[in-house]
Amino acid sequence: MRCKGNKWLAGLLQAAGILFISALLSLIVNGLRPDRLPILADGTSKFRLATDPGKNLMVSLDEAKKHYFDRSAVFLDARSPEDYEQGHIKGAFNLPQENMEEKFSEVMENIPPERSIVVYCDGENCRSGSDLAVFLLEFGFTHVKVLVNGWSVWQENHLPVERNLRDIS
Amino acid sequence: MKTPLFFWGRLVLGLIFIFAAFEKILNPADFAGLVFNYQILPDRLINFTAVFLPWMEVLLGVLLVFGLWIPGAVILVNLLLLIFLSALMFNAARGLDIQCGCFSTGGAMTSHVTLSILRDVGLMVLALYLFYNIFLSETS
Repeated sequence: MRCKGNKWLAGLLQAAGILFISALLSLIVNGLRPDRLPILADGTSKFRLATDPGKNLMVSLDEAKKHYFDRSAVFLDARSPEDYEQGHIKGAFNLPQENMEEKFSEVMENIPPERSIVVYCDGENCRSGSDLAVFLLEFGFTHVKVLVNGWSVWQENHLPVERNLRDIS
Repeated sequence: MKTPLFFWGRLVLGLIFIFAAFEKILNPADFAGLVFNYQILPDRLINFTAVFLPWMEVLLGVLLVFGLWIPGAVILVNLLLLIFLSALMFNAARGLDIQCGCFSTGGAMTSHVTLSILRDVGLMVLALYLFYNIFLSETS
């Protein structure tokens, strides 16, 4: 029992030291690397999905399902055309980043700006999906939502998909 | 009391922490996206967290592996695991299906919230054992 108090004190001091060193180390390394993140920025614009404070762009799977079966939203697939060809949410349009300019008018011309839109891509970050959502919002579409990790969760829940069998070899 | 279990415990936990931080340090922007997806932190803290957290994990891992500053490292490891576990369970409870981002920042893996939570519980048990051994055990 004798040095229990000391042990706690030492532990807390060490913990503070560790926090300090980690912060220092991380800031120095971040400052040195070319792809540094702006530490004090409001997230990066890429991740800032909230248009108004508190208004979140994410849509839960249940909500997305409701939209889907009510046909109350257009689904947009932000993945590459190859991924889209191999399989996508049934009825979704492909609007990949790489040929946004040519595809944009083709896909979006018949979609009124107030129509609900659900954007998805695949994988844990889903950056292309959120990028597309932010882009559409900036463009004037008002009801844009992101289904995070959409392609995976859609398949896991056995919801309607379309596959192009000819591409699976 | 520094039992063999204590030694192996801190070694394993330390290596896991180092391993977990590796990809996050390589791809801070991707990791920031993951932190964002958790929808827990205010926007202003996301980039700092994404930059800071992996280095803290590495430092904690190194200290655990080499047996330095063990009391401090064990306090923080427990705290960190508790935060990770709470964040995972919080998002599982509110039905937000996101990737754990615990060990990788990669793209196409599917998420298994339950597995991630179980894994975290396992690590937590190990960390709590170390904590108990240092701070609470009569023989310490």
